[in-house]
Amino acid sequence: MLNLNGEKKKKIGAWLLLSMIGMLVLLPFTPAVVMAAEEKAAEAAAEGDAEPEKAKDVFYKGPGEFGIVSGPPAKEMVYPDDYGSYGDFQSRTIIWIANQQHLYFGSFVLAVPMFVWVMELIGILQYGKDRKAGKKFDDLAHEMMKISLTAYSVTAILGGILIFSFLALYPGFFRYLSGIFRPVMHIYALLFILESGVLYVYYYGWDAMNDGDGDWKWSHLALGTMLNAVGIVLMVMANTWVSFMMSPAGVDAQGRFLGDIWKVMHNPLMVPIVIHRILGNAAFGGGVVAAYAAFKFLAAKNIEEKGHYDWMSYIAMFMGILALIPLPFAGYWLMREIYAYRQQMGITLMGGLLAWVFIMQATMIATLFITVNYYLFQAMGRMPGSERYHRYFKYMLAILVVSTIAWLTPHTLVMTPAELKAMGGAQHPVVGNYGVMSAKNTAINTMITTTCVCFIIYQRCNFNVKVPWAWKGNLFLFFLVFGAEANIVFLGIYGYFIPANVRIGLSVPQVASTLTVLFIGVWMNVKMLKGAESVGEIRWGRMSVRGAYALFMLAVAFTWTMAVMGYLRSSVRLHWHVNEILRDNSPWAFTNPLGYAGNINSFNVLLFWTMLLFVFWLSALAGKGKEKVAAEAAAEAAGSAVPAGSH
Amino acid sequence: MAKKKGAGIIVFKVALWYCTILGIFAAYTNWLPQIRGDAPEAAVAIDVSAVTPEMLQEMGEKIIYGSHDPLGVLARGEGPIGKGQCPLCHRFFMEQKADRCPNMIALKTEPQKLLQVSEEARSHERVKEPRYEEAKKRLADGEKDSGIVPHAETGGQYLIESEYCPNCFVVEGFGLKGTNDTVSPMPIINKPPIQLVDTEIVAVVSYLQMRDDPSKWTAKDDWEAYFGEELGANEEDAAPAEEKPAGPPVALGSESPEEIVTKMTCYACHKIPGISVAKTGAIGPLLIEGTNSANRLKSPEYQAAVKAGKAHATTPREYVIESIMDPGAFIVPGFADDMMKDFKHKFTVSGLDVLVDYLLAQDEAAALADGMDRLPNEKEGPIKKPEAKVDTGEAVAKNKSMSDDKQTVKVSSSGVIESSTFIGLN
Repeated sequence: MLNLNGEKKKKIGAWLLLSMIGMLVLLPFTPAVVMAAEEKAAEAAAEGDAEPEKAKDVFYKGPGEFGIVSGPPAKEMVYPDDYGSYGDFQSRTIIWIANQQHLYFGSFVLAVPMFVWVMELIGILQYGKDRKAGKKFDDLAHEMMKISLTAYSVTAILGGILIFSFLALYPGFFRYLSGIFRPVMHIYALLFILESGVLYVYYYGWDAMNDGDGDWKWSHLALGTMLNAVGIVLMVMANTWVSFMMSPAGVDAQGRFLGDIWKVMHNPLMVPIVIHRILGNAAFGGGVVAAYAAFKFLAAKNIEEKGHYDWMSYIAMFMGILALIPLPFAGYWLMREIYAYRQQMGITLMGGLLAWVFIMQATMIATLFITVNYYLFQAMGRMPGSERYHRYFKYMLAILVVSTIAWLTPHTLVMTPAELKAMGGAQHPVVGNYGVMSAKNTAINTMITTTCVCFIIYQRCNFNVKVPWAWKGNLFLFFLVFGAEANIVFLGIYGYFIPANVRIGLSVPQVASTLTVLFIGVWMNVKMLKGAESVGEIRWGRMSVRGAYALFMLAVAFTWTMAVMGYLRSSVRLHWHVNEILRDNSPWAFTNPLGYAGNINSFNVLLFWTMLLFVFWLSALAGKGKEKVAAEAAAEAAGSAVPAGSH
Repeated sequence: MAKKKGAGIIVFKVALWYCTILGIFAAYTNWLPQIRGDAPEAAVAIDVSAVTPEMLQEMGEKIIYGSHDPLGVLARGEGPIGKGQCPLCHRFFMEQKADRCPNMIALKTEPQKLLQVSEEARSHERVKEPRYEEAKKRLADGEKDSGIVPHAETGGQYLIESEYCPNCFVVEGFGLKGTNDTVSPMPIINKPPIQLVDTEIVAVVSYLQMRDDPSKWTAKDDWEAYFGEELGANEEDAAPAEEKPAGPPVALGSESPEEIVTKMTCYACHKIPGISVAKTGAIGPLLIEGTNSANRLKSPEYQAAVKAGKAHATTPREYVIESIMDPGAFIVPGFADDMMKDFKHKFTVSGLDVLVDYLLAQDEAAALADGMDRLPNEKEGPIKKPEAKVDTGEAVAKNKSMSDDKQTVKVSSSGVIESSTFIGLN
C-alpha cells in the first residue's frame, strides 16, 4: 500500500502518477510513428524504382500543392450496391439519429469534465480562505463527475451503434472515409482507452486524493486537466472527419489520399468548427447540469437540499451563459471561413436553400435570452433587497419582447399569390423594414445589453453600495448603458441610409458597444460592491418553481439549437458525402425540408433527455444504495458521522 | 411510497413541459416555408444538332433557376436556384438581391454605362477592356486551376471562358479580398461541385444571349471557335439518334437545305433559288438574302422597327436568323404578318446554320440563273437582268452543290398561288 503520509512522499507519489499518465498519453502515438517510418521506407524504395505519381491537392496551394498519390480514387457510389436500407425508411434519417445521440452524449461527457475542472479549481482556491465554501464547490464537482461516469458508457455504446449503422447503411462511404483516415483511426481508439483510464482514476481517486488544497488535490486537478485534454483531442479527431466531409484537403480531385494525414485533418474548416464546438459543448453542458439541478431542486425533500440544488443550478446556468456569450463570435468566424472556402456554400446557408433555418436559429437565440432574463427575474426572489428593482422588470421584458419581434421578422413573408398581390410584393412596406440586417443587429445587441443590465442588477440587488464614489459609479453605469444603447440604435438607423457594403461594417461598433457594457459594466459593478453592506444573505432554495422550469426551457433550447445547427452544417454539403469528391448517389441525396428536420430534432432531443433521465436515475440509485449502507453503518456505530463527500 | 409518487408527478410535469416546448419548436419549423433541396439531375449530354436554340435557352434557364418561372419562385420568398447555382451570387432580376458577383441585367438607373446594358451587350465590352489584355499577358502560361490561357475574342467567347476559367478575367471590384481582382470567388463551372457539361454551359450562355434578344444567339459558334473543336464531340454519352423524342418535324444539321426547306414547307410561300421544290411560292418574298438582307437592314422601315424595339439585327446573318426565329419582328413592306411563329421550336442549332448559310449565299444572280424574279408587291421591284456579266452557271452550280439532289417531295403550288393574302415573310 502506498503510504500517503509525509510531505516528501506525497510529492513523489503525485509526480510518479503524473509521469505514468504522461507516458500513457504518448502510447497511442507509437503506432503512428512506426507507420510513418514504414511510409518513409516505402517512399525511399519507390524513389529507387520509379518516379512516384504526384497529384495536385484540392485545397493546399503553393509549395505543398503536390503530394505522392497514396490511396485509391473515390469510387463512384452506386445504389443499391454501396448503400443499405431497412425497408422504406430513409437510411440517412437512421444515421442522423444515431449520430445526434452519440454527439449529445459525447458533448455531455466532454463538457461535464470541463465544468467539473472549473468547480474543482474554484474549490481548491477557496479552500484556503473558506473551507466550507471550498468543500461545497468540490462536492458539486464530484457529484457531476458521478453522472458523467454513467453517461460515458452510454456514449461508448452509442458510438458502437453509430459505426454499425454506417457499416450497414453506408458501407461505400464508410470504406472511403476510413481509408483516408486509416493512419489515425487506431489513435482515436487508443485515446479512448486512455480517456477511460484517466476518467476512472480521476473519479475513484477523488476521495483518496482529497487533501483540501494540498499536493494530492493539485495532482487530482492535473488528472482532470489530462482528462479534458484527452477529451478535447478525441473531439478534435472526430471533428476532422466532419470538417473533411465539408471541406476536403490532402486529397486530389479524384479523392486520392496524398500521403499527408495532417493536411487531411487540418482542412480549411477544421479549426473554426472545433472552436465553435468546444464553446457549444460547454454551453450545452451548463444547460444539462442546470436542468439536472433544477429537477433535484423540485424533488428536494428539505430546504437544505433545495438550497444546494438551487445554488448548483445557478452556477451551471452561469457557466453555460459564459460559454454562450462568445459563441456568436465563433459562429461569425466559422461563417467567414465558409465564405472564404466556397462562397456559394456560404450563400446556400445564409441566402439560399437553408436561409430559413437561420430564422429558426434566431428563434432559439431569442428564446435563450428571454429565458435567461426570466430566470434571473425569478432567481432574484431569493435575494433580499431585490424588491427595489422589481419595477424595472416589466420595462426590461418589454424591451426584450420588442427586440425579439424585430429579430424574428423575416425579410420576405410567406404568402398566397392573392396576399402577395394585395401587399404589392413579398416585402411588407412597413414591417419589411424590420427584416433587414440593420434592424436585426440592433435587436440582438439590445437583447444582450438588456441581459447584461439584468445580471448587473442581480449582482447588486442584495447589497447597499458603500464606496464613497457610489453616485459617480452609478452615473458612470447609467451613461455606459444608455450611451451604448444609443450608439446601437443610432447605427441601426444610420444603416438604412448607406450602401450594403458599408452597412455591414456597422455591426462591429454595435457589438463593441454591447461588449463594453458586459465587461466594463460588470467590472465597475464588482468594484462598487467592494465593502458593500449586505441587505441579507442569499436565501438559496427560495427560488420559485417557475425559475426551475425556465432552466428546463434553457436546457431544451440549448439541445434543440445544437440539433438544428447540426442539420444546417450537414445539409450544406447538399448532395455530396464528401464535398466535391464523393457524390451521394443514394435515393436520400436530397436535403430534407425544415419541417422534417424540426420533427427529427424534437424526436432526438426527447430521446436524449429520456436516456439522460435514465442516467440520472442510475446515478441516484447508486447514491441511494450508498446512503442506505452509510445510514446503517451510522446506526450501528451509534452516533458516528456519515463521511463527508461520499457519493 | 408517498415520496415515489411525488417524484413521479414531478417527472410527469417536467416531461409534459419538455414535450410542449419540443412540440412548439417542431410545429414552428413546419409552419415556416418548406423547401426541399433535390440533388441536381445528372448531366445529360445532348446532341446539339438535335436541339433548337430555343430549347438550349430553356435548358439554360432551368440550369440557372431550377424553374421556368423564376419570378414566381422569387414571389414565394424562395431563391430560384438551379443546378448552376448562379443566382446565389449574380443578380438576374430587379426583385432579386444578389450583389456578390457582377449583375446579369441592365440597370438603367446606374450611372456607369456598362451597367445600363444587357449582359450580352456587356460581354462584348469586357474583351475590349485593357484589364482583359493585362490578364492575357499575366496568364500567358495558363491559369493555374483551369490551365486555360485567356483568349476570348468576342463577347460570347468571353462568357464561355468565364464559366471554364473564372480567374481568366475578374470584373473590377468582384475579386477575392486581397487579390487585387485577380482571383474570382466563382467556382469553375465544369468541375465539382457544379460540374456542368459542355452543352449545359452552352445552354447557360445561350440563355444569357437570347434573354433580351433571341437574334443575339451565337453560343455554339462561340464555344467551337474558343475551343477549336466541335461541340459535343467529346461527350461520350450523347443521346443516340434513335432515342430522340417523337414530336413535330425538326430541321437538323445533318440535312441539306433542300431537305430542310421541304420539311419546313418554306416552298409553300417562298421561291428559293437552287431548291427544286421552291420554284413557285408567291405569298412571301423571294429569298435571296445575299442581296435582300443588307438592303432591308438599311431600310427606313427596318430602322423604325428597331426604334420601336421590335427588331434587333445588325448584320445580314442576324437579320435572317431573326426573320426565321421571330418573324413578327419586321414585316417586309407589301406583305402581311402571316408567317408561322413556331419555327424557333423546329430548328436545331445546326439545322438553322445550314439554312441561314444557304439563304445568305443566294443573290439576284442566283435567282436569275434559276429563272426566278421578285413578286410584284416587293418594293425592290423586278430584278434587273445583267448585261451578260454574271456567270450564272457558276451561281447555279454553287446552289446545286448546296442543295440535295435527292428530292422526293413534289407539291403542287396551284392552291398556294390562289391564296388571296400575301404573307409577310421576311
